[in-house]
Amino acid sequence: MESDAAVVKRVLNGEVEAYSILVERYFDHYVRFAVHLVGNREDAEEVVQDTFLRAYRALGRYEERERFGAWLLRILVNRARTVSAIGRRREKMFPDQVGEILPEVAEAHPEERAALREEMARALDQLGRDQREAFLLHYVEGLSYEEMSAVTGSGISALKMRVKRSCERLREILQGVNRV
Amino acid sequence: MSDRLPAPDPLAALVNALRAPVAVDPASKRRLMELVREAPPPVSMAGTPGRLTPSRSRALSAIRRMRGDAPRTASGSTLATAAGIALVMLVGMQDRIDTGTAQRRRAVVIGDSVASVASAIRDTLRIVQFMLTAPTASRVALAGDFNGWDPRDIAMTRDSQEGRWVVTLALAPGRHNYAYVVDDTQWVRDPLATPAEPNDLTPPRSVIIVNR
Repeated sequence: MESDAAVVKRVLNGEVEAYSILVERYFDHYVRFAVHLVGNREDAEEVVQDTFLRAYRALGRYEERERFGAWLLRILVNRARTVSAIGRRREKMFPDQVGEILPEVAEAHPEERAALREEMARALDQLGRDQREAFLLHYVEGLSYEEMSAVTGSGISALKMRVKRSCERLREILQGVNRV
Repeated sequence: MSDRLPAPDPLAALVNALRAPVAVDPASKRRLMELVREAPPPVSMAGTPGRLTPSRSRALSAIRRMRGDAPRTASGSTLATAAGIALVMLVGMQDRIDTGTAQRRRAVVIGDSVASVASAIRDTLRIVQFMLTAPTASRVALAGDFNGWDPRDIAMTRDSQEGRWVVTLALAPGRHNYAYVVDDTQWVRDPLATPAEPNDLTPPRSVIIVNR
């Protein structure tokens, strides 16, 4: 597979269509991340589109020593923060995976699946922006604390604290749901 | 898998659920590419905008061959020069590899990349060889933060009767997390490398530090 850096060079060399290779590699994955970060699909797709456009315009400043995906993620996180800062509402949405998360509850009370799904979304909502961001980057995206620091601009100690507190808070919330 | 929380942990299940793919309208990507085509072309900040010099092009072709990618160009002079560069690299590799069976199972930095040998790429890449002994495996792949943890992207090659699987990559200096994926499903840590910081919810991972 051609490396991201090689594709970037092709684009900088005038092969605009080569950029679609990077779009195919990262778009879907980052929409998933953005959905959980900003809370609704419409804003998420907009944020990711905007991220790719900004990345394209700034492609000359991309440095090979950084993983392209991480560079893109840093732009995405900043765009998502902007969307959050202008106060768009986080919709209460969550994939229909309550049965996977809480199988006993879902099976015993199928009529409560919608309510439980809302609880899952609320769990992420209750973390607050910084904790939600840190939790998603660390556990869902699998970034190390060093990478998270590069992406978010926050210190490693602060990030570890956010992840720890987000886990504690989510466990509290999920255990509460489990007792429904 | 010892780093993982037990299956009933609701937080582990939540993370699995959050990793599930989200359906994306293909029209979004088409629209994005339309906007890209309309945008002014990006300008390289390093020297001649985006232009591959002959030496940079040769080095990149050599890296692709090393990774198993098909070269995009193959003129006689390019092939001859790349073969010369690769020879320099392989001589260096031979000196570093023969250090005993135990070390052959872990990821090791074995030399400068063709890029740095040719002094063609500003940021030096390093050649890293990943090795795992898995005699009963049918397939082994390498996944890491360098490829978005894609378990199908970097297939390893079985190179001995003893079941040793090998792949060689050019990586940027820095800290990289990685794991092996055996038979498409089993994620295993490199048994001889430093374990990554456990985070309870992801498969076991190892760390390699690639020095400049």
